[in-house]
Amino acid sequence: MRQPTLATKRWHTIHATKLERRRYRKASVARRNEHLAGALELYDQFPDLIRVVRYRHRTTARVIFPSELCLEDNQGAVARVVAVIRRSGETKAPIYFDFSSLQLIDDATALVIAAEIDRAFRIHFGGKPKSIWKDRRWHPVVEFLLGEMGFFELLRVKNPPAPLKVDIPIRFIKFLTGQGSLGAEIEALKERYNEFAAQDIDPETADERRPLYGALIEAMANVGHHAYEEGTFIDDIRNRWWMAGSYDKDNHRFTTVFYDVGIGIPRSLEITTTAQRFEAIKRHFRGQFGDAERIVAAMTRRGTRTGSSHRGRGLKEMRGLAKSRAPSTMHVFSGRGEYRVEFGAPPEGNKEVRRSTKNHSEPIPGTLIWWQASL
Amino acid sequence: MAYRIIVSDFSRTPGGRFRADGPHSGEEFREDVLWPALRDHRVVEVDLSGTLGFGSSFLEEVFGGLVRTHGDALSDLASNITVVPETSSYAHEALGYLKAAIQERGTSRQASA
Repeated sequence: MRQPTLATKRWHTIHATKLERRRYRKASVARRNEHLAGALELYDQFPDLIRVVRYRHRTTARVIFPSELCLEDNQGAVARVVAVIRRSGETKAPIYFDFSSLQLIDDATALVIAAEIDRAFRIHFGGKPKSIWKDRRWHPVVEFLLGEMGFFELLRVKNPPAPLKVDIPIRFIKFLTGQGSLGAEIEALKERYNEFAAQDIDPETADERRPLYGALIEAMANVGHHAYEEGTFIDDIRNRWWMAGSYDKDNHRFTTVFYDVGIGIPRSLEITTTAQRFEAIKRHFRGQFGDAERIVAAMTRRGTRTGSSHRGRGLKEMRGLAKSRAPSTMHVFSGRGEYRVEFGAPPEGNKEVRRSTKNHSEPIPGTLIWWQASL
Repeated sequence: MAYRIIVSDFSRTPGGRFRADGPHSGEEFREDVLWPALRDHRVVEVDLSGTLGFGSSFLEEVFGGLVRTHGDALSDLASNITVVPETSSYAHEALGYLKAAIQERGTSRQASA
């Protein structure tokens, strides 16, 4: 066989290089079109929260947070933001989370947003996102709250801000995440509270109980048993929970927030209760049976999932934390439902003083339990 | 003389119900600590003090589960176990689970007879 000449070899090298460049350009154009399509799709679904920004052939979907995100006052806004975070992970468009417009956020919403972004990273990037950079233009109190909660560590931000010195009496507990019933993590959470509180955050009650520990370990167990449908979540997400909190040293009040990204109480009740039992529960609520009523059913043991009489005490124990640390409030957000119960201090004597439910138009996926209690 | 088991020696941070839930579960305590002690010593005192707290699932799986899984082997469980400290509501809760499981076992046996 004749050996190729130098000219032939040169021609093949140049031709291969041209072919490679053509393929790269084609792939680049295809990628840019995908990014644009993804960003426009997001904009179509969330025109109030998304801006499509194009710069030098690059398209980014910019998520503009509302100025206030507080679950108690505006569940709908928080639900929309969570929906954007979930949807943005599924598109091909590069995403820019613009926190600069956010001026007020409560600890429960901060945990939900952190957990949802963590979830997206675990699903789409195996927990290791490529690179996140923090823009400078954040409201200082928001930056302080999210920084104390460990938000920048969670997102592996390349340029985390230096801890701000903001003189506010409320300190925020760095969030923890895990899978399964991990008592050691509750101990770690208590140690974080104890850095700010001059006293044990979970002292023994008169009958020698530790309500915070009991509530949280039961919440973790519930996540493992009910929150995640078999076979529908990746290993890194299944049975995962996130928890955080805050401590107000001036008023001796604390909050604890616990969140999972599972199927939610309403859905869990529906798929795991027999049809006959489900109908019986519906009849009890006489026609009005939205997500909020399903939460009530689960809270009051009418919806024992397994049907076994020795199971299903967990939610009652979670309620018990609020009861023992009155005056207090316990909130449960799951799906479109919101359940709120308030306990009064003496002279009401740790009695329930108010209970309310509400069905919202937008769902919070998963389940959030939020205690606001007194020491 | 009752054999004494101190739960905090097993773990200061008791976990959930089943082994699959995570470390230091009720099932683990029952099968690895309590049941062998009952089998070997017949009379056992369980001391619940010294932990950071308990979930109801843990207590129910230990004491209620003991009856469900080993009730046939040790007939008089209720009198063979004491739970301390007696002033603790955890102890009352645990004994309540034990008695409820014994009652349920008795009821289901009658129903099947």
